[in-house]
This record gives sequence, C-alpha cells and structure tokens, in this order.
Amino acid sequence: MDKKVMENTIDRQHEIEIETREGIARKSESLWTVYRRRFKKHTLGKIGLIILIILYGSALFADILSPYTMTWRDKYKSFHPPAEIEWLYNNAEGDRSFKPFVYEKVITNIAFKTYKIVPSYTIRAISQEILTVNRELRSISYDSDFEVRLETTLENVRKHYRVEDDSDVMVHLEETLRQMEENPEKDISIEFSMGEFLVKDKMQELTLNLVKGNKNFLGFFNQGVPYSFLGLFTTNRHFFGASTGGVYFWGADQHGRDIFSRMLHGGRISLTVGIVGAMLIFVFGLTIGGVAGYFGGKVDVVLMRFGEVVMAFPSIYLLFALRASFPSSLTSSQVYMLIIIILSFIGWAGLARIIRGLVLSLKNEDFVLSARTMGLSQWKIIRRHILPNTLSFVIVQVTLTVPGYILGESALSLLGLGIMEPQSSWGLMLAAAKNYGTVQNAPWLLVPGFAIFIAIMAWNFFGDGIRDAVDPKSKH
Amino acid sequence: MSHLLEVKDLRTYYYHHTHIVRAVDGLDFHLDKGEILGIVGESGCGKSQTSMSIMNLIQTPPGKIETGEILYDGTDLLKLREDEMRKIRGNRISMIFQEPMTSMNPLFTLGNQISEVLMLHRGMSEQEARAESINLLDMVGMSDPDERVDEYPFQLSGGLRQRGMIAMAMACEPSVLIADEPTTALDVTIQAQILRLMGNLKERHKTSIIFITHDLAVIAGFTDRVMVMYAGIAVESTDVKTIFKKSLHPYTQGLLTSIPVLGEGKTHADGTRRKLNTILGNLPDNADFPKGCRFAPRCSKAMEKCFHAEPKLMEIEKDHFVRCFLYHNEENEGEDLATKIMKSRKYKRGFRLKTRG
Repeated sequence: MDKKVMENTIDRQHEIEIETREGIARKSESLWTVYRRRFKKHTLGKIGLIILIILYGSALFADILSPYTMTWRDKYKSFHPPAEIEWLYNNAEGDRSFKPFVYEKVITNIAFKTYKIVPSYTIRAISQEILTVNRELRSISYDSDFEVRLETTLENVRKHYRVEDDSDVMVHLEETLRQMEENPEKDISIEFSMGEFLVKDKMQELTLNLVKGNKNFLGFFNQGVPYSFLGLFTTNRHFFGASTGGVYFWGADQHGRDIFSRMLHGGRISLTVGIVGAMLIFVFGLTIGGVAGYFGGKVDVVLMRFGEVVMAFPSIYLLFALRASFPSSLTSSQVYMLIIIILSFIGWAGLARIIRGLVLSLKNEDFVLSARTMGLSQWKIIRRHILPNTLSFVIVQVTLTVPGYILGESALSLLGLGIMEPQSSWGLMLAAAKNYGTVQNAPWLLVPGFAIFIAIMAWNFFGDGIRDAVDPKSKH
Repeated sequence: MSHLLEVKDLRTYYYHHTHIVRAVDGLDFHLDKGEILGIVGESGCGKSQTSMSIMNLIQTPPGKIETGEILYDGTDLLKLREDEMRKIRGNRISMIFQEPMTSMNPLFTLGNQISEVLMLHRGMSEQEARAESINLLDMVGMSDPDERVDEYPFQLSGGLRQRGMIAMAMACEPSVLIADEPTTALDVTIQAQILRLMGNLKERHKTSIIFITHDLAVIAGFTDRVMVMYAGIAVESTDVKTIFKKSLHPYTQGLLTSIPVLGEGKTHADGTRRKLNTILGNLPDNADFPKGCRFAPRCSKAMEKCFHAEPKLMEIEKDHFVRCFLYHNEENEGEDLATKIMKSRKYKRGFRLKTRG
C-alpha cells in the first residue's frame, strides 16, 4: 500500500517536471511575429501596402499590362480622348450580348482636337508587325462610296508592304474585301495572310487585320504592338486591349501615345527612384551616422558639420547646379542614376543625424559594454550590436523619405532636368500639362499627377503602419 | 610566489573641466589561481571602475588610468596594444554584469551571442559554435538547451539570462572571471542557484573569480578572500573568516554591525528599543577627498592624527592588511598624485582650470 502511494507520487513529480519548464512554460512569439501582428491591425498601413504592391507589380509587368508600348504612337490620334467603353453589343439579329467595345474615332479638327466616331461601313487594315522598331500600317477609309474605300485600302496596303498592284496577294485581298462588304454582318474582323517576307534575314509570314465596322472589341491577350518582355524575349501579346487598336483608356498625349501604357512604364522610373534613393541614403546615413555617434569627438564634429553644410544648401539650386555640370547628352539610364545620386547626396544628412543620436544612446547600453568585454572589435560592435538596434527606427525613417524622392524626380523631370523623351516618367508626363490651354482641352494629361499623389499617400500610410508596428509604445 | 593577476598602485581618474574625479586611487591587490576574491564596499567606492580598469575599458576621454600595473601572468595589460588586449578580453579574462536584463543584445538569440564569442576567440565554424553553445547552456544548468539556444533574451527570465551571460563568459574557459554584482538584480533563490553554479564552474575549470558585491552575506558564503574598498582605496584585506571574526578597520566593523540579524529581537535586555547600527555620513566626494584618512570624518574612533595624515595599507598579521592608525603608524608619503596633476601646467592649459566653488 505504502509503496504504491510512493510510486504515484514519483509519477506525479515526473509529470510536473515534464510539463513545466524553468522560466516560461509557453514559447512566446518572436519580435517579427509581433511586428507583423501589429501591422495587420493597422488598416491604413495595410491599404498603403496593397496599393504599393499593385503599383510596383504593375511597374514590373508594365510591358505585358500595357495595351501598347511606351513609345508606340499614332500621329493621327493626337490628344485622343479617353475611351468610353460600351459594354453591350447588338448583333445583326438585334440580340444584345455582353461584348465590350470602343468606337473608333478620327480627328475632325486638328486645331481643336475634336474627334468623331467613324461610320459603320468603315474599312480598316491594320498590319501585325514582328519587329519592335517597325511602324505598323493603320489604314482607315470611310468614304461613302465602297469603291473609293476599297481603292484607298488597297493603295495603303500596297505601299506598306511594297507589293506589286497585280500580284496574287493583292488580287486575293481585293476579293476578300469585296466578300466582307457583301457579308450582312455589321462588324467583321479577318486575319489576312500577306505571305512570306524577308524579315531580319529570315522568311516570315506577315498578317494583316481587315476590319469592317467602327468598333474595337476589347479582349484579353490580344496580339498588338510587338515589344520585348523585360529584355528577355519579343512578343506581341498584351494582357488587355483591342487587337484593332484605337483604344486609349486614359486618353492619348500630344504625339498620340497611350497615356495608360506610358504611365505603367513611367512608374518603373518614378517608383524605383524612391526605393533606390532611399537605399543609398540608408547606406550613407547608417555608415556616417554610426561612425559619428560611436567614435564621437573630432570624427563626430567633422562629419556632422559636413552634414549640416549639405543640409544648409538650397537643395533645388544645388540640383540645378549639379545637373548642369553634367553633359546634357546622357542616356536615360545615366540620367536616372544621376537623379538618384543627386537626391541622395542632399538627403543623407538628416538620416545620419538621427542615427548618430540613436547610436549615442545605444553605445552606453550594457550589452555594448558586454560585447566589449568579450573582446569584439569596435567595427564589429558597431556593425553587429549598435546599427541593428537602430534598424526599426531607420526603416520607418527610410519608408517616409521615399515620397520625397518620388516628388524630387517629378520636380526634376518637370523642369526638364530629369528623364527625357521618349522615355517616360510620371514627372515628365505631368510636364506636358504645364500649359493651361492644353489642360483645358485634354484634362486627362493630369492623370500622372494623381498617380504620384496616390503613390506618395500609399508610402506614407505604409510608413505610418510600420512605425506603429515597431513602436513599443503603440496602442495596438 | 607570482600571482595570476596582480594589481599595483592602480589609479583611474576622470578628468573634468573643474576637477578630477578619483574613481580608483592607488589600489593594490592580487588574485591567485582558483581563488575567489570578494571586493566589497558601498556604491561609488570604485568597485566597478576597478573591474573596468582591469579590462582596460575605461572611457578615454574623460577617464584615464593614470598610474599602475595590472600584471596578468606576468604581462602588464595596460601596456598591451588594443588588438592584443582584445585577444585577452572574453578569452582569458571575461566579465559578467549586474543587469542580466540589459547586458544582452535584444536582437540576437542566445545562441547567436554565445557563438559570436566562440567564433571570435576559438575560431569555430558556425555549426561548431552552435553545438558548443548548446553544451555551454547545458553546463550552466539550463533546461532544454537545444531549444533555449534559439530564444531571444526577452523570452528568458532574469535568472536564465544571467546563466546565459555566465555561459558566454565561460565560453573560452577564461582564467579570470570578473563578476560585477552578478546576483544583485536576482531574487534570493535564483541568487543561490547562480552562486552554486559559479562555485561549481570554478571547481571544474579552476577559474579565478573576482566577485564584486555589496552583499556581505554573499561574501561570507562564497569568497575565499575579501578586500574592503572605501573611496577608491582598499582599507582592509584578508581571508573571509578573519573579516567576519576579527575585522580591524572601523569601516569594516561598521559594515558588519549594520547587518540586521534575524531573531535578535527588537529591544535590548533593559527594554530600550534596539536600533540598527549605521555608519553616519556619506562617502566623501571623490573629486575632493578630505585631508588625512578618508574615513576619518565618519569614523567613531578617529584620532587627532587621522585628520592630518593618510595611513598606509600595512600587513598587521599574516595576509591581513589594514589601513588604519589604530594598528600602525605608517603614513602614506609623498604628495597626492591628483593634486600634483591639478597643479601641472598641462592640466591647466588643457582644461582651463577654474577655481571650484
């Protein structure tokens, strides 16, 4: 009896030993889990993050997402108004079905940039190019007489492909067009093969889109203007748009270029300028501020005074001076790097001062002393023990400086010192809206300004969210 | 007989515009192999500055080790170059601190921080260092060392963190461990565990320990020899039994009688209320020590002479050093070093000396 009781007690003790660990019994969450949980509670921060993901994602996949390319233009579509999408389509039998389309428009007054919808008997011939450099054929003929329409179209095709008037292809084309005209259907689109041509030392088949009617039907993964996808391969598939062209979601600019396409491409520059610039000042600020704070004394005085000199410069004039001191014949990527370097050269001082202050307080922490008694070198202490502890503050600071860079790039491009045509950036596109008269006639030129606004707001929200997440005093 | 660590005439001063703070002002002591030396004294008497001086980690400026030798295995640590000294710190001499809460980097796991020392001094690879960290954590008596190794300092309790610190300090099996009030921030049970652990480690690795504390109970139970410090100097130094049985210096006696003893009752035999003995007054301003014996203004046994001349630390009995005129008549000769520096032209030029007051 006694023995059994004792055995029970031993078992019980054993159990207790298993279930309680010394100190804390439950494994607590790591720092990053806490930060993530706190960030998830910050609604504005989350909205900012989602917007940023969308913006940066669309900049990355700008090639495929845009209906045209960055430089593609139709000189007859200068200041073409934004597309008015019709969602329902009445076919020949009078049935209504869901089939979004946009009417093809032509300019009626070159001075006032007024457009009208072409008649429903219009014949269009649009070439499908293979090379990214070639300008495509866009033949529109809307004369009331069919024979005139036919002749114009044939003439344009003959000129574009440089084929003989009486060649088999042309005879076949004429036949096809006549058949299309006789067809009772209102809207017909045919892919017509022009036969093989010598393109880039290789025989390749070229196709021509023949369209009867005045509608551009929208669809996914249409064939359109060829482009090089991230420099990897050449394709002419676009995620969204019309294979017959003529669709400008946010209108066209002075040269007849699609604003939507150019904005997606311009986002690559406008949005990355901020990140790359912030990275640069992050490196400069951490190094200079860290060294100044840790070593103190003369090093501190020299570095901080230098920073103050930089901060005291009137930055916009410094930008002018620096930009002017470089030749104006730089390539666009050189200009891009130059903008970033100029902006971060002005911006590092503020961050360096903040980091210096943080390091000053951190270097008196016990764990730094402890690291010194462990025999770590000064440099290693700065790198491993001091700077990582400033990181949460620095990340917030850097996030909140990104908008400054986006604005800086816009300002430079607006003043004609930044990105240059035919490249696009939001600032450069907004520069087209400098003229009051232009904006009055084509208010869609202001769209890049809204994009800048949204990107900056998103970064600020995101920065606020991060700050609240890493702030130990935060309410969340 | 040569000692493992010998400190001779150590003076650590802090320079200010108007005065010099004498944190340590002429300290001599030694530490033998496998010995635990307790350094005891009230706050601000220079205990921690002594340990920082041994590590050669005095912030310069404003601090400076003015004179002295710190002989470790015969080499003077104060004469070593910074990179040579770094090889000794954490490797031959390591240190643990009072506040386990703040003496670890909150951003790295326990294993990371121990591995750092191992990789630095023992040239281990990351995997080896991690395995060794687990061994070390096991050695300092942590449960589940293979889980604890991946935990962050803020996930550990104070006692566990202090064990982690000990593991880190013992990582390279140093021959001297300086423990700067390692148990002050811990509660009594954890304190006992930590002390037992340090005792065991000392037995196993033959580590010498300098144990800095102001807790006399810990001194009594843990150390072999005791040095009592007062205002930057040693006033009495002997083995632990003698200190408690037959202390000589009035300051030591004052310290010992100011410990409350459980069960002594709150009244005397004659019915008067018993009061705990205290040493009246405060530690003197270490920028402006009184003339003569530094303890004289607070000393109940002070004589006329005590206010004029400073006594010398003399060996009264075997291994029992006392700095008091009650037991000998030897005076500290020569002019005070700090006064001499204050008078020097270099100091006046460098700091534009203003008269105090």
